[in-house]
Amino acid sequence: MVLKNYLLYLYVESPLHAGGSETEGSVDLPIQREAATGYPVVWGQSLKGALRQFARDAGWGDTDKEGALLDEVFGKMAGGDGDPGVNTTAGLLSVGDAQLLALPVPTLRSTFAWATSALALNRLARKHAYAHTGRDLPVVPQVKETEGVCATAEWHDQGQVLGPCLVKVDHPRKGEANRVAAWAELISKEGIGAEPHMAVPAAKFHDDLLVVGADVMSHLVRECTEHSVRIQLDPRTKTVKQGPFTSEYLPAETLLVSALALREDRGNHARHRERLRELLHGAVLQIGGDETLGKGLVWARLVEAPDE
Amino acid sequence: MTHEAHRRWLALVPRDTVQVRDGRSFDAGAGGVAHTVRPWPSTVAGALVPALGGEPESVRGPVLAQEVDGHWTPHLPVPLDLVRESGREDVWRLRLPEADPGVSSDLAALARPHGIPDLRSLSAPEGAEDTEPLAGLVPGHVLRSYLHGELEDDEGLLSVSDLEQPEDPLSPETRVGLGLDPNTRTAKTGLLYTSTHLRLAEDWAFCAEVTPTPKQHRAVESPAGPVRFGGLSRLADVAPARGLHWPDAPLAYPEGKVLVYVATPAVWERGWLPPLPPNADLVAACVGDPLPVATASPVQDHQHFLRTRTLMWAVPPGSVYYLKFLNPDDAEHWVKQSHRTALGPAARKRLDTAGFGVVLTGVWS
Repeated sequence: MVLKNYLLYLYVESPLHAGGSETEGSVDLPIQREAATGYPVVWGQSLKGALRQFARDAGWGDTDKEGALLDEVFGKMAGGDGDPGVNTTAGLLSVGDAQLLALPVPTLRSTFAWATSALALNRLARKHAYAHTGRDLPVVPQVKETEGVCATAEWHDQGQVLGPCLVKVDHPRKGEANRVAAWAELISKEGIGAEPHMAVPAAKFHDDLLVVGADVMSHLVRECTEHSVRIQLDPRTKTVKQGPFTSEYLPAETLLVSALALREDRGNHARHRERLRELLHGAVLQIGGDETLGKGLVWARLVEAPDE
Repeated sequence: MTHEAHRRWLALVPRDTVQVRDGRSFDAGAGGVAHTVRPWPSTVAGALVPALGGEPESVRGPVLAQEVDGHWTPHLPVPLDLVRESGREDVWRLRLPEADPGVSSDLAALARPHGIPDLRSLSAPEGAEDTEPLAGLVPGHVLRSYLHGELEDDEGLLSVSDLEQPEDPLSPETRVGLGLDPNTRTAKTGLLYTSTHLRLAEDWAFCAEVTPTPKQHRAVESPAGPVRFGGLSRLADVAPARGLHWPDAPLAYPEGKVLVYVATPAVWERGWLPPLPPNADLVAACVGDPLPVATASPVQDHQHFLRTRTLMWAVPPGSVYYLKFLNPDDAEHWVKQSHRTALGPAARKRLDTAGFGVVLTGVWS
């Protein structure tokens, strides 16, 4: 199977609600999370549906020829003309889960910082490895369970407030390799970009990325999402008709990353690759629920593996 | 002609989660739930085909294995003749009791039509109370001790800590799926469903031992990847798992007593009863609840899918059979041929070469 591999970075522009499957405690509409780690995630099937919709909105389904392209790359829609109970076509594009890479957390200096973990960085490294991007990747820093390491000396502190946690944050001594800074450089370049409209978050990411231990991260991924209490009013009486109910959102400025793979199709591979890049790189997509409330806007950036 | 010398272990590492349907029909919207199972041998064997450029001679697996510092450790289901005392650390190995004229059962009568003259039931040793079967996995070296009869003491007793059982490396994730109307951007009626995905823990992989065809000797050293694995076009990477091996078999079989441990689900012509060598008697067996196994090849068109789908009962892995050969030399000869191979013939063509019914051999007393 000949494949073109990509990494798809998603930089969250407005709070994102990719709805999970079960109510959790006081949250009526929780976001999707991994079972074992509790890390927020956007499931592959949710992301693929959003990408398909975006392609359709971009005109991929407007003509017979373009409609064929939409179905070739993304697969036919469920409930189409195919056999009942069987996927009519899988589509050439495989879309992996968009996993958490860096989460913005409130702090007492610089308003917020991005928290990541050895696990999240290692997953990114693995994505690079199996996508054969050929990138020279920094070593993943090893961090004690309840501590953190920072890219810039300003964050070096015995008691740094990160969300609900008080964390000892270290900074490499003079002469030691600054691995966090190296990761910040790589992620900022690949995932945020250098366009003028992204200059502020890109520069901040260089300075304000922290790699925290597993215990700290497990608290932050639970406590640093946004909760919104909503109601529906009766238009006549102006009293509450439905609710209140609580929705959970991934906050703006979160970074996610997914692995995509485009299978080769007889004679059309180059065209598919070109169209996919045109479609996604630098685009603003909408993912998840509450679209008409302005939620779920994300900046997308594609990292493409060089041809082998 | 066989190509055993070129056998290699390959590791399938899912990039995200794995979803393998259990074969029940599924209609979204009608309380639609897609039930998920652990990947069958045929799921793994089918996934490896594109990585090798065609069907290999045989696949044996899957085995869940963990890689730590470049060293692979296989983990296999706990043998079903090990039972744990409720609420205690004690684990007992079931024993074959001396024939007791005061106790009778119709087990032998039920087995006789199958050509088994004297099937006896296993029982917990004296002193064991309120026992229940164990579940989960044990590492390869623990299973090796079990096969060699070195795991328990003379009384048949060991501790649960001796088993070194890991946490289950597969954690379920319930996911909801929804179909949207692309024009109204609202949920389509009848397209809401729930499915369970399985996420494999870090450093774990589904591994299988592959015997390549002559044309695949190079492909098995550097398999092409990634491959589609399970449902939803999810991808898994394929890589050699060097240093991985099945637990080895004992060299000697006193009194011709051979234990057969089922390492992967087995689908045999006579259901629970494996194909036995003619010079051995089946003395006892400890077989778990039958597994419903569904297989299909959904990659091609729908007609091909309909033609290839099957539903069968399988003997669950972890089941054990106690054989007795009249001659210990015969036992050794049979073990050499059978250890870590698929015991055939299978109930259906190509099931044994797809990894169903792989057995390991050991001793019993």
